[in-house]
Amino acid sequence: MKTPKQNTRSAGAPPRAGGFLKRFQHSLSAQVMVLLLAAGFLTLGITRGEVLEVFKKAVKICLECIGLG
Amino acid sequence: MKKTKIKDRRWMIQTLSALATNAYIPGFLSKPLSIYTGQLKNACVPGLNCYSCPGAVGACPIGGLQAVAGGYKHDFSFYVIGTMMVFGLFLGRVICGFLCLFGFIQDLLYKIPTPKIKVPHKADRVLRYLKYLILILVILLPVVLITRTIQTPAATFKLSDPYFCKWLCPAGTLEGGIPLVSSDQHLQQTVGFLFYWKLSLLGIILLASVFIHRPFCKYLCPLGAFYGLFSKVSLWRMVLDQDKCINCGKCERACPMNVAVRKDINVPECIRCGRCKKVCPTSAIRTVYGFRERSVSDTGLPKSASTS
Repeated sequence: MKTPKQNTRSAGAPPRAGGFLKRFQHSLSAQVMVLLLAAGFLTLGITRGEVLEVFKKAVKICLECIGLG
Repeated sequence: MKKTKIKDRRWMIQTLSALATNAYIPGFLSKPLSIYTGQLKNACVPGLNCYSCPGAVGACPIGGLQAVAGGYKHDFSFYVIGTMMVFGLFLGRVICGFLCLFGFIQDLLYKIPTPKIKVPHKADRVLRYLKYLILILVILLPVVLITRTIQTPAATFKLSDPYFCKWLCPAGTLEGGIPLVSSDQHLQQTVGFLFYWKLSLLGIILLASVFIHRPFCKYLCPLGAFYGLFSKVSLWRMVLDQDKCINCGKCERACPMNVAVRKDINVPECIRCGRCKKVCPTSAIRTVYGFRERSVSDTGLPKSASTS
């Protein structure tokens, strides 16, 4: 007969102890940092004209993708 | 009754997503088949959906990433990586479980009633790292493995192939290659080794999908690998309340991605399909969506995050 675990911490919850990285990735700061980094990447990419490059590739039949290139 | 609804909802979302990302009907009706060339293709779709599919209305993120890195202007695509980070943060691998067309196709094939194969634990652990290696290659190869160099008086331009799309991607063959080549005689005349290689690879992956749950997602998909990196920071998370958990292990036996749910539920392999939640006899597993709060209750559930 198995007994229920006595540990009250949830597996999805932020760890109470552990390495900095482990605690950081469960924090609000990590989420905000990812959001800011993503926004920065998007802004940089758009200003460098990458959208047009993606568009140009996407509107032509990609011969490599279909196995002919 | 409620649980059946949840299961049906996933299938419905997968179907709707497949239709929405491939909604360009004229592409399928024209002879020979054509592809969409409108403004929506400036943006990337979240899942692995080839932009050469006649119905595709958006760009494939992996294809876009390689197109920019393999072009002569830039070595790295901030735009595509930024987009993928936004998808990763807001949805994570929910995209694999709910929105990816190729994942949906594998799910459908796994429904075929045949004996199923459980990949041995050790082999499974090792093979899972393959997709991370492929992700690194997707980012690095177009930069280091130059296929063409164009010399001009002003500068030298280096170009490279989209290696993943060219040699590995089964979605491109299935969604773009087969329909376009079968409808166009000119394309048929150019079929060679590469096409048969990709066709064979597609055949192997589709056949494997009948016996193994989502083999491409588990072992090969660089997009799933990327989204997996966001499993712990993603707004969409799973929470296992150990106060309610009776350690029966049903969740782990039901998990198609072989996640050790009781050890850590938000691992990169979890595609948030919700099967663990469905089989849990004590409703110990919950889905949480939202930014984390600075203070978290003892059960680990953010106080104001929406749960289902």
